[in-house]
Amino acid sequence: MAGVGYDNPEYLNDSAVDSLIDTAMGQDINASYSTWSQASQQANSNYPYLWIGTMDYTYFVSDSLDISNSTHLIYPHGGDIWGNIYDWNRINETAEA
Amino acid sequence: METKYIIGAIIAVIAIVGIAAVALGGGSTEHAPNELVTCVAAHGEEPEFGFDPMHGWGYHDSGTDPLIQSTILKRDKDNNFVNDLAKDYTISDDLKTYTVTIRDDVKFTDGSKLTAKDVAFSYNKAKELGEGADLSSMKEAKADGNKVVFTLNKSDSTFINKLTDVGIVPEAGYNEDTYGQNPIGSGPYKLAQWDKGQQFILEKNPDYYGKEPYFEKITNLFLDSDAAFAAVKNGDVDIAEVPVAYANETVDGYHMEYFDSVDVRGISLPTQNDTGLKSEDNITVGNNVTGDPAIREALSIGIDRQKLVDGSLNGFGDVCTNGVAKQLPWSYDQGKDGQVDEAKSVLAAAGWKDTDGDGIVEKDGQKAAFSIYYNAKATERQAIAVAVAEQAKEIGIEITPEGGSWDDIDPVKFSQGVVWGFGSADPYSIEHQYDSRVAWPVWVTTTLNISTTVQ
Repeated sequence: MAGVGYDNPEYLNDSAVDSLIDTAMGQDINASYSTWSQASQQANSNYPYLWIGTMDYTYFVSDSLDISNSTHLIYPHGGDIWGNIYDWNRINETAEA
Repeated sequence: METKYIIGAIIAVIAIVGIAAVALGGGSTEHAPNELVTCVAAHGEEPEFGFDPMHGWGYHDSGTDPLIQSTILKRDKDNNFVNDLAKDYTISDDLKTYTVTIRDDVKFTDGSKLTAKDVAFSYNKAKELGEGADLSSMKEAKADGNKVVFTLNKSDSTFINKLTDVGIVPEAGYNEDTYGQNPIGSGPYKLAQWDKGQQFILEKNPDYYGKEPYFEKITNLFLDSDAAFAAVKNGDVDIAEVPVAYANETVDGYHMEYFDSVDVRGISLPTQNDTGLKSEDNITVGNNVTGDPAIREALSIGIDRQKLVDGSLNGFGDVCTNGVAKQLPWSYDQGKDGQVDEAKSVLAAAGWKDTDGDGIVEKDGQKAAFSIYYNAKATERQAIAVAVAEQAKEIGIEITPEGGSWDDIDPVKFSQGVVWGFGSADPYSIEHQYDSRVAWPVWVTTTLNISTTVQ
């Protein structure tokens, strides 16, 4: 199955990263974000990945459909176009998809 | 190249025949205004075990909605946590106990009442099967009246994210082999039909407790990207997800909508030299080229990502040098990009020199050459691997792009570069990416159950 054991495939071994992770896990979530940032910065000082970029999710949408793009949620890996399905509407009922 | 186009054309023809068959079965491609026909992979590919959150349905890196089932919390458009089944919740100061009060007005689609016991059961079962969210920090979930108490085996500030990750199933009658075919949930929709390999149909759940959606029925077609685009051109779908390669096309009656994502592409570079170390499943670890930090640094500062985004992603993306998308609360400033001369100096300072005049540097008789593997089904990953290889030559590094299936990639994932996709709204992803304790052989047995959803 895809990606079994994908964790740390680069075999990074940096105890400063591990220790920042432990600190973040023990902090209030809002306070932890800056520690997670530091953990990522410390990890990336070893250049374990060649990071490229984030990708957009692209959809052809019928002109008769309103997917309310102001209420869309954050797009994780794999996307989630239906996350705001509650706000979708048919805007021109005579237009056939 | 030509073969690829021919294959594409054949796939398109097959797809059109396939759509025609579906359409004929349904009477016509026309449908009522309050019915929706989609071709979106919003929750990954067709789920192998059906629509069962215990097998990972609705979890595809934190941040998706299972639709057929409810979750304890959801995220709103600003990425704040909001209640779904929860009435309220408390977190202990030591971050080891999360207590959630469950609302008492929710029914499953079989008419039975959803209780705290169903919530506890779902979390314990999801942990046991280990196919969706990482619940490794959870010791147990236990119902106490209308509350569910999550006891953790360590402090875990990220556990609140896990409260968005598991769709709740009824404990009574749950069977992990059959539930996914006929799921019973409490979400806005229920599964009406699943034609394996073709489509699934959702119908509105009349008893849903939350905001009522307008669309009564959603038919989602399983089509590959060429077929999805063909369906758009044919006017068969209301909405179709297409790869960025198609995003500049125009089709009458449709417009393009695109969304920034936190879905990042990155290439893992083995940080260790090949010293004969094997992972527990006997896979070679390390690479004597990427094991030199100068090689990794040179690539990171020398590759021109904007050029890659403009080319490989057709302009539909954003440069990211550190793996953290800008929308996430733990994002930080970007690093160096496209500095070819500086990259060359880094290599020279570390002793890498082109001694045989072939444009590729060497050190101690070792040529700066390695491979980057990518999932051949993902067109953007292929484009990235090929473009990185081309740019790397300018710096003096020879990269061979190798496409394959995950089965092909598995044996080389610790010794060659691999193109990955990550993108979770849960900062615990940092732990998965970098924590040494999840990689080194002595720890492997405790961590291999973590996730099967990365693609």
